[in-house]
Amino acid sequence: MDLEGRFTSPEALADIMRRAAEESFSGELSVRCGVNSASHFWFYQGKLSSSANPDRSRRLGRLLLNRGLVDRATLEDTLAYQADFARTTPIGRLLVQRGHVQANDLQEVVRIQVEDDLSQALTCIEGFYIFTPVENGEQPGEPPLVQIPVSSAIDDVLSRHSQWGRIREKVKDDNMIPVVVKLGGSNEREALHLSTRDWHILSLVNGYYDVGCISARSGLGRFDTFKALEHLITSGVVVLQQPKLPPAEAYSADGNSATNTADAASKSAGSSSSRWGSLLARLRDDAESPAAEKDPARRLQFESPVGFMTEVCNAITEKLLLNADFVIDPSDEKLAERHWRQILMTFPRADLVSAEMNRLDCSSFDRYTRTLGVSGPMETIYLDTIEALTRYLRTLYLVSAQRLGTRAARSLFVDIMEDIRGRATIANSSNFFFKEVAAEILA
Amino acid sequence: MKNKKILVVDDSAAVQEMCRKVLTDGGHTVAVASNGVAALTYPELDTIDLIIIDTNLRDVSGIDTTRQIKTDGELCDKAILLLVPEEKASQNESVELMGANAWLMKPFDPAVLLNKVNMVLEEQEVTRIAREHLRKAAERTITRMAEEHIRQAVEEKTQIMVERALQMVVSQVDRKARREVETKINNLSAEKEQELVKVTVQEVARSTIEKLAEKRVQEAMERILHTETERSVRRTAEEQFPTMIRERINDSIETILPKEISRRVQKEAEDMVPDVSERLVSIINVAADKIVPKLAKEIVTSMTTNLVAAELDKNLPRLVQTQVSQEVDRLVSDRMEPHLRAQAKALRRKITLLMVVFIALVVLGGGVLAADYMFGPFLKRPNSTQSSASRENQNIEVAPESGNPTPGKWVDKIEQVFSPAKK
Repeated sequence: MDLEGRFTSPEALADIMRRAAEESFSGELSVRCGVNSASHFWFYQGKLSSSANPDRSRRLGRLLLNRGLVDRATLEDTLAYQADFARTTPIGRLLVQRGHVQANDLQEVVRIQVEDDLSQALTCIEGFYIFTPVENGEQPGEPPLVQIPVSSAIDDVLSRHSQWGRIREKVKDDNMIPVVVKLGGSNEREALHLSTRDWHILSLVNGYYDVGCISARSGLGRFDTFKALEHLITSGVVVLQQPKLPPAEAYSADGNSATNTADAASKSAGSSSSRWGSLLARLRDDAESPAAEKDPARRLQFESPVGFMTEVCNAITEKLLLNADFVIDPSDEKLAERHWRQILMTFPRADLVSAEMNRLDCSSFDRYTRTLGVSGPMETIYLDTIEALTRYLRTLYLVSAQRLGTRAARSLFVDIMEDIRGRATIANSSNFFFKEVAAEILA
Repeated sequence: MKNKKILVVDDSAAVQEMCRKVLTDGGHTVAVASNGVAALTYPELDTIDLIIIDTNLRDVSGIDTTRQIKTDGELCDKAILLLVPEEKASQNESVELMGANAWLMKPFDPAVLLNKVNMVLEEQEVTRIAREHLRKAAERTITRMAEEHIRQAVEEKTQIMVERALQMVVSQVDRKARREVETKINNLSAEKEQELVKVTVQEVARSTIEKLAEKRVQEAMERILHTETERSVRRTAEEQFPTMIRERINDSIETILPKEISRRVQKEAEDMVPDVSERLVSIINVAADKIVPKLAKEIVTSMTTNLVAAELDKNLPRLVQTQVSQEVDRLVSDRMEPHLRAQAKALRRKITLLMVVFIALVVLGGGVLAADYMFGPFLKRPNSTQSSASRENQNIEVAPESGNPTPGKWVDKIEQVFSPAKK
């Protein structure tokens, strides 16, 4: 078996994987399809143990959270433990070892993850592969908790490909938004027989989250989620609508943009140039008007760190949109809405913060915080919201760094964050460490 | 109130999470959904004790969902707690519940939520217990009323049964008495009836016998009449017919018989001629070959043939056409046929006799010719040399006198033999 080479069809890649399984290969298989980032599959003695896909925003911890198999505090605690004491131990194994997650549940989640990555890799018509075996003398370590037979996984994935065509006719795009249709009456309700899986998908439809978000939250994997959605659409319970906002470009944590902003700007420049002009004029008017003059020494009171983070986000957004060098994309007219929506797809529990008129609004969150604080039932929501806001600021930083340059962007972000932090009094902030958050944003 | 199953319907994942956490910590089992349709189609909806619904759901509102649940015959018993947003609760002082059991303003205190939930569940439980009591009370009341009704009904029924029994006894006695009276009457009637029947039967028998006798007499008379008539007719016929037949036969013999005989002869001759002629010719030929000279044989044959043919030509059409033959046929077909048959038989005997005679005559003639041939020269007289022409005109009776007979004389003799039959 060649350790690296080129493949020219999905079947060829499947054969390569099968050969690796036959030869009880242990190590990593990297598959690069065209110019896209590589997918990685880890083999242990000819069986798949895990996978990674840079296009996939879901991490194992997020999947476990979405499925309710672990709560956020436990996950955070285990991640901290991993960072301090067990850097080489996978988080899944740690969770099982510490008794937070059942091995069967972990295997199910990893199996879905691997099958989704495998399904995506096996749609690649042409690409390159490279095997990186476990180096000589290096012990493979403990057997992985998850070991998936390669042939059966490939057969399952290939058999699903035939159904994908039919499903994709109904569910064309991950950005489509499912919306429920009101039932006619008790007869229609009684006539509708939904399986538990179909109902689980239906229960996630709220007219805001898109198909991709529901797929990520369902914990069922893309194929089963799309299949259930197709059934719901066929039954007339759900219809798909186009998103009102164009999807924001996704930024990964390492700062790579999935799409080119300049390309997106050039694509949509013609259609909304007039609206774009009006937005800039309004923002400049607001900036020049006496009412908009801000007292630099004014003290700011926040119910929670969420309010503080929201204020930072709004101040940065406002500053960026007043910068002519930054404003190159007409879709920035709804910059906050687009990017916050994209963030919510990954952090749905942060939905007490909303975006409107290029500003984030945390009034709902503050109302709950006033009543509940940020602990107890609000703790998970609070942590998710803080992470979502951090991710949002990180996205804004990456966009501004791309458009204004890293130094200017950093300067702008640091100035605003320090200014607000200096004037802010934040309640319920015992677990909030601003410097850590700022470092994460500006990393 | 613990271990209840609660469905939370809110389109905010954060609120879902909050409720889940609060209620789970409160000892309940929680399922979450993001829309009203999911609430209505939850597969385990039967097991749900309480539904918490946000009134401000997207697409299908919580109010609509509540209305659908409360108007559904199967779901209307479900307890519902509405979550009303703060701004809406402040806008409307009285929240429209649409049949929901209670409402709670958002954002809510977890303790308040839990208390509200427990309160609704308790109310629901109380309602359930009250309904159970009501049901039991209703059952008891119904049972008591039913028993009362049954008792009354039994009494009424008993009374009715007693009355009916009395009526039955009275009616049975009455029926029995009536039956006895009827029996007696029937007996009397039967006797009278028997007498009447007897008389009637007698009369009927008498009339029947009379009719039968009359019929028999009539039949006997008819039979006798018929017999007598037949006998009389037969006697008359026997008396009359022989005479008549005799007369007719005589007439027939006189008039018809010759003709008939001729016809029959003709017919027989026709039938017989070939045979007879053949036999005759053969006999004659034999005889002629043996006895008669060749010339005499030719003459006799030709003459015989000519004579028979002439006779046939003369009599046959006439016989066929005569009315007599029809009459004879009719008589024969009716009653005279036996007589005619007898006559014909007699005639056949006669013909046979005649034939015998004829054969005997032929043999005799042949003998005579032979004798004449053999002994003629010795018996010839000197003056017997007459010419053949004068000999032809002489009678056969004079043949001994005229010497050797010629063939023409034999023909005449044959004709003489036949002529009596003609007569």
